[in-house]
Amino acid sequence: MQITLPELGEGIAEAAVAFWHVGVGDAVKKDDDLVEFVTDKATFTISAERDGTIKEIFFQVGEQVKIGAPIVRLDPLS
Amino acid sequence: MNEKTTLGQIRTEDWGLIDYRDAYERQKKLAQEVGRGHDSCLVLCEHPPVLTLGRLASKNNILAPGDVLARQGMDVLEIDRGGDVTLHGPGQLVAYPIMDLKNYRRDLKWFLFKLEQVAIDFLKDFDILTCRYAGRTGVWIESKKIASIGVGAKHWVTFHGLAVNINTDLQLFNLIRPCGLNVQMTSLKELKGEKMNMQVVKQRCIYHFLRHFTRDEIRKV
Repeated sequence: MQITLPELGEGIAEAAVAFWHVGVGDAVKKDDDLVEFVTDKATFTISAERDGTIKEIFFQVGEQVKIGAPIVRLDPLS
Repeated sequence: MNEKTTLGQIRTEDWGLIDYRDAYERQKKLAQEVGRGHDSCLVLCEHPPVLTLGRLASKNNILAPGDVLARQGMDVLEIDRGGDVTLHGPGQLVAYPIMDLKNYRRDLKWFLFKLEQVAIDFLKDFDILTCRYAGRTGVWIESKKIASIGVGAKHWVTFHGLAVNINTDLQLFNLIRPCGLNVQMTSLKELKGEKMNMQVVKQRCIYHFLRHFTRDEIRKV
């Protein structure tokens, strides 16, 4: 499953990757922190929606990401 | 000191003068509770001198060399809020709104705007007229900055917040380039020409915060 960058507010079209809490191959549990984004003076943390393994990371720290874009691919535990 | 009051759906707590790291741990715990459905909470406090770097901050914005900071016992902490480098110290009112924005509005820009407005409104109670500038979040008096803002959110529960210079020793800001800008900081004490009563300032801050974040006020937005 792909996790996308959610809407962060009116007029916010993109946000920068600020910090990765995980790397490719890491096992994560539901609610674990995955990545932090920063927009203006606010950070926003994306968490895992379910248990699984990080298969792919689409952006590096400092890169700008558009709202709705996929940011990470997570293989859920079946 | 730990005063708790309840008005509407937002509690307020006064943590007095508290080490930055201790306050951070308490914020995290509170944020988890708020995320589980407890009332949102406005925390007010002051910190002993400390420099904090937000995510993507540049260490070049710390102007003082490491040995100078060490001699002053000034810690430098990298933290998970937006914004660049800032300084906290006694006499600076720090407000940490631990709010579940799912109950208000899922909008980080709106939240930052509201925090600015809280500072603008309570400073007006002391006859100080301030303003905001687009693209330079914070509260300003012409070219001088009096309040800095940097927040974090997880599951839409917020932490970190607003720092307003009330009786802050402004010399301390010479150690850094505040928020990564070539900007001069000011304080309510400097503007009024006298030391301010922090308890009175806190009461005005609470009043305007609750006014801006009650449900009735939100519906008007």
